[in-house]
Amino acid sequence: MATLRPGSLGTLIGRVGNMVFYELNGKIVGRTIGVVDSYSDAQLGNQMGFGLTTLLLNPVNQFIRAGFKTTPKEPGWNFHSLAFSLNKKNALTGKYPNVEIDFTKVIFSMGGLPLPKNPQVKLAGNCLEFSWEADPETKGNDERDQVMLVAYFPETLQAMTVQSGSPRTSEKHTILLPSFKGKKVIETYIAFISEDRERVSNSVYLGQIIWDNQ
Amino acid sequence: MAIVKKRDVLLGEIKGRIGPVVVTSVRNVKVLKAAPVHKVNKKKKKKAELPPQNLKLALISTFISGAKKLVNIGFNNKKNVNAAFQSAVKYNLAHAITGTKPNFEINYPKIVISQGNREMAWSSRIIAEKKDTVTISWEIPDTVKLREIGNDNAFILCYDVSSQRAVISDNCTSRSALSYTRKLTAGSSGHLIHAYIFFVSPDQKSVSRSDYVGSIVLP
Repeated sequence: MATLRPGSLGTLIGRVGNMVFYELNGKIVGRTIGVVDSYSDAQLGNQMGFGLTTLLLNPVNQFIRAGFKTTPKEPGWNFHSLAFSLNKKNALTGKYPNVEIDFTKVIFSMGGLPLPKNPQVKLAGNCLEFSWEADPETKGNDERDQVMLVAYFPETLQAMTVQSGSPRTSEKHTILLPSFKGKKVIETYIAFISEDRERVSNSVYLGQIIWDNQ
Repeated sequence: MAIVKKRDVLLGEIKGRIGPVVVTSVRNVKVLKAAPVHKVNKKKKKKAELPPQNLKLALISTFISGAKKLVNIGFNNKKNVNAAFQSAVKYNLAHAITGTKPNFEINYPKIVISQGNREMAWSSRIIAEKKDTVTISWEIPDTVKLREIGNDNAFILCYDVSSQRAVISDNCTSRSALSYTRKLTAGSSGHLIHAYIFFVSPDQKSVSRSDYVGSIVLP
């Protein structure tokens, strides 16, 4: 049984038929309750999207904690809510049952810190070499800004992340890869963060690297 | 099914069947269940007559049963409504079976015995240098903070396909040890071994997803 609480328009709390209303993170929410016999394709697609986005963000949790710390959020949201929302809306393609992650559209950080010119990545032996042009004349840049990097392995859903890498002026950072067996696909991203961790840039997709030691 | 809420003077430590009722305990909770109905004339169906789900379930249940000790840690999630074993069977039933009825097979590289957010094993390998012995090794990348995960405990499953036997090494070594050598049952020469590894934090609150290390035929 739902109860009506005092308020300008009243607030419904409790169960009415197969709907239940309750307070969650300061908001009154309503949802269906009970056993669901079947889901529509759209619902299954949404569930699959949730699953994929969760798997995508799990290995980069520490990175997005820094990447979305200062990004404006709705009340009650945290860094993960925002990263989840942005990536679920923008980085998924296809319809159920072929929902996939479009790694070119994945975002791992968001902010107003300027990015350097010409960021690149290349495979050199057992290392990923990231490079950029510092561009010190751009307004908002600081020579002590540090690079943040992601090397994402979509096949195993693992990621190597750097949250406080080389300073902007050094114009390069190298990640030593583990000694993989066989072929590996690596998706790469770059972003920058200020020394005081209060400003961050958008993350930029640098491209796909194929590692093959055969 | 009835649940005995507190120690009952009448039931005491009774366990077993009393007429149409069975007294037993499920996950340390004492319960009363209706006894199963014994069907005398039911003919045993041949393998080809069974529904596909039965065949798949038998395959996965047999595999997971052998690794139950590890699965109870790897799939132990408080948010899960189902017990760890059921969760593991459900996941692997959906992802780790190949083939068509009645020739279903386990896709060993797709088997998952642990799910979690902790750092997975990187570049894991299996080698067999001595008779009846395997060595499993892994790496720790430079980008990972060793002081946070270096003391994680390694949990390793070696599954002997030939004898359908699981060899479990729980809490066997730390992540920073980077390798572990396991003696298998004598007479395993020529057997095909599949290996899996996952890590658990020292406080047992965080687990990694399991990694399929690989397979090897013992010399």
